[in-house]
Amino acid sequence: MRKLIKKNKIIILAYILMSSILLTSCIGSRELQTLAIVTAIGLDREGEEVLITCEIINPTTASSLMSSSPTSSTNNIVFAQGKGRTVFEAIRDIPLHFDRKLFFSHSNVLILGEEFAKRGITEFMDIFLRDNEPRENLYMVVAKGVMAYEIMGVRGELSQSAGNYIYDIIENFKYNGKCVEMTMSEYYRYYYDVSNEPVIGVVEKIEKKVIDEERKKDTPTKYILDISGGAALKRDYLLGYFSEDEIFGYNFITNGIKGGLITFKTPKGLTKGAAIIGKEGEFTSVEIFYAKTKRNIEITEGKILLNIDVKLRAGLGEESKAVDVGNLEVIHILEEASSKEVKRLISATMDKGQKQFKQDNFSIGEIVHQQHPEVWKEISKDWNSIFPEISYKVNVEIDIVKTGIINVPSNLRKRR
Amino acid sequence: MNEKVSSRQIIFLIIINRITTILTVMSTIYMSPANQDIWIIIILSFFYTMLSSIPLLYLANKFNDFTIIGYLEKIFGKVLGKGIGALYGVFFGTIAILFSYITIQMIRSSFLTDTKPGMIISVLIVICVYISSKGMGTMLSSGELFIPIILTSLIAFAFLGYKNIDLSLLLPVYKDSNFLDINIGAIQLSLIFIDIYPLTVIVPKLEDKKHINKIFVKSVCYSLLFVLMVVIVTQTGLGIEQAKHSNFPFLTYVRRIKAYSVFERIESVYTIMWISAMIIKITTYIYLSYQSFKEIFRKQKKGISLYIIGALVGLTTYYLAEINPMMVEIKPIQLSEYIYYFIFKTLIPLIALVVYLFRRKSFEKQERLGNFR
Repeated sequence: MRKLIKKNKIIILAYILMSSILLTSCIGSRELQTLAIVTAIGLDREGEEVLITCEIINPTTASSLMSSSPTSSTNNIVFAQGKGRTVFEAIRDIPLHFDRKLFFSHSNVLILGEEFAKRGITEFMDIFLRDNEPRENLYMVVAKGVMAYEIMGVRGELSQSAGNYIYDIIENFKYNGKCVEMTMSEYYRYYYDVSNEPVIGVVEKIEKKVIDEERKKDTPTKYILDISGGAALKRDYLLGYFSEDEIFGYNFITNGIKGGLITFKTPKGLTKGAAIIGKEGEFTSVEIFYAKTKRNIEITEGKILLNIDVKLRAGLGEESKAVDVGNLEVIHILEEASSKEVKRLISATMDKGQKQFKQDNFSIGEIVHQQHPEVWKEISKDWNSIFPEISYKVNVEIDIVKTGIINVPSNLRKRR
Repeated sequence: MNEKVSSRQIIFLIIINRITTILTVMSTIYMSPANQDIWIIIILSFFYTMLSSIPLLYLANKFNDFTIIGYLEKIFGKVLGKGIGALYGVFFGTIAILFSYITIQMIRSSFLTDTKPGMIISVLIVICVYISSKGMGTMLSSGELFIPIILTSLIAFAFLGYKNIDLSLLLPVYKDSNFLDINIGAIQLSLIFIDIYPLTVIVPKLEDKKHINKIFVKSVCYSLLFVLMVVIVTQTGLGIEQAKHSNFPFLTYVRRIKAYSVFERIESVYTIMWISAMIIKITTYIYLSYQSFKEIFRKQKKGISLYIIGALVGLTTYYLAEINPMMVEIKPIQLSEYIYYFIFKTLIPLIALVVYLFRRKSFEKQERLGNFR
C-alpha cells in the first residue's frame, strides 16, 4: 500500500513538473511585441492580382501615445502591402518584406477599392470567413472613386488610425441614418436570398480647409473621410451609389433607422399675426427617437403593390421659423410636413432602385416570398425583371412627442 | 462501488449528451427540408424519438436490474448475446471517436491553430479516460456541477446575440416544405439522438427504477427546448444559408455577439463551456464502451480494457484528423450513418423485444424460480 502511495506521489509530482514546463504557453506563443496588429484592411486589384494594404498599429508606441496629444500619433501607424493571386497569398507576401507576422483579430474595417468592387468581391471574401483571425463583424465599405489604400492614409482628428476613424464614424450611424452599417456577416446573411442585391457602405475622401492656425501654415488643406451614402451591388460587383438622402430613404425602407434627423421646409402660413424678432428661417429639424417600417405586399389581378408603412416617434430638434410650437395644431402640421419629407426620401430611393439600377436592393422579393410563397415560386426566377414594374404606396406617421426645453422659438415674441 | 444514481443526475447527463450533438457541426440544419422550417422538425422529432426508443425503454423497464448488455445476453442467449453486446461496445466506441474527432477539428480550426493535433488528442483522451476510470458516480457528480453552468451560459449566449437575430427569416412557415419533408427531417433528427444509452446502462444503479420513462421523457423535452433555442438563434442570427456555410454555426453566432460594449469577443468563454460539454459526452461513450466489454468478459475489477479503449479512440481520432481527414463527410449526415444509428437504436432492441415477447413464458418461469437475477 505504501509503495502504491509513493508511486502515485511520484506520478503527481511528475505531472506537475511536466505541466509547469510544457503548459506555460511558451511553445508557439505569440507575444505582443512580435505581432503586427492589423486595424484596417484594404483590397485592390492590380492587373489580375490582388493588392492588400494593411494598416498596422505599433503597440509599443501606441501605449506611450495614449497619453500624448492626438497630433503626435503619426508614428504608431504603419502600412504594409502585399500582392498575390489570392488574398491569402497577398497576406503571406507581406512577411517577405515586413518584419512581423500580421494579426487580423483586431481589424474592424474592410475597405474595397472601387476598381476591385467593380470586378466582383465575393471570390476574395473567402479567407475572411474561413480563417479564425478576422472577425465576422468587419465593416465593409467601398472607397468611392479611389483605390482602397488611398483612403487608408487619411486619419481622423481624434482617432489614432484611419481604420479606427472609419469604424468610429460608422458607429455614429445612430445619429444620422445616412450611411450603411453593414458587417461582413450581415452581408452574407442576406447574400444567398434569390431576390436580394446587397448594399454596403461607402467611404469618400474629401478635401477640407485646415482651421488650426498652427497647422494651417504648413498645410492649408487636409483630407477627411465621409461615409454618407451606400454602394449598390449587383450580386457581388459594384453597380452604383446611393446618395446621402437616398440611403436615408433606403434605411427607412429596410427598417434600418436607429436615429437621425429629418429636416424639411416649415409649411407657410403658420406665422400669421405673430410678433417676430429679427429674421425668421425656413427649416425645421425633428430628431427620430424610434422608427419602425412594415412592408406588405398586395397582389391584385397579378399586379404587385408594395405598401411601406413607417411609424416614427420624434422630438422637435430645431425650429428656425417663428411658429408657435406650443400649439397642438401647429405640431400636427409639422408632423404632416415631416412625414411628407420621409415619403419624398423613400420615393426617391425606390425610383432610383427601380428606374436606374433596375434591381431589388431592398429585399422586397423576400417579402413577396414570406407573404405570398405560392406566387413567389412562380415569379422568383424573373424577379429582377418584375421588380422595376411593381407599384408602391408609402404611408408615414410621425408623432412629435417632445419640443425640448423651450416652448416657442426664440425669434417669436410671446404675447403673455 | 455501488453508488446510486439520482434521476436528476441522469437527466442532466442525457440533456448534455443530446445538446452537444447540436452545438458542434449542427447537422440538424442540413436535414430535410434544410430551410427555415427546421424548428418544426425539432418539435416533431420528440414523437419519433419516443417511438424509436420504445423497444429500449420497454426492455429497460422489464430488466431494470440489468444493463443493455446484460439483458441482451438473457434474451439472445450467451453466444449471440455476447456478440451483440460486443457490437454495442464497438458502437459506443465509434460514437466516442466521432465526437473526439469533431472536438479536435473545432479546437484546431477555431483557436489552437498552431497546436499539434496529437497534443490536443492526448490531453483530451487522458482526461476522458481518467474521469471514466473514476466510475459513473464521479462522472455524474461532476456533471451535476458543470451541466447547469453550461446550460445557463447557453441561454446567456443565445440572448446576448439578440441584436443579430432577425426572426422574419423563419418566414414563410411550412410553405417551402411539405408534410413528407418535415417528417423525414424529424425521423432523421430522432435517429441521430442516440443518447438513451447512458440510461440503459445506468438503469441497475438508478435510485428510482420505476420512473425510467419519466426520466427519459423529461430529458428529451428539456433537451429539445435547448436544441430549439440554439438552432433558432443560429439560423436567424446568421441567416438560413450562411449557417449552412459555417462548419461550427453556433460558434460563429457567438463570435458575432456584441452587446452593451462589454460582451464581445466572448467565444473563449463559450469554448471552455463547449469543451467541458464535449468531455462529458466523450467520457460517457468511452465509459459505456468500457462497461460493455467489462460485462461481456465478466470482469469485476478495473482492468486495462478502459485504457485500451481510450488508446484506440485516441489513435483512431488521430488517424482521422491527420492521416485521413473526413471533415466534409461529417456535416450532412449520410444515409449509411442513419442506418447505423437505426440498427443500434431501434432495430436490434426491436428484435430483442420480439424475441422476449415470444420467450416471455420461459422468462417468467425462470423469474419465479429465481434464476433471473
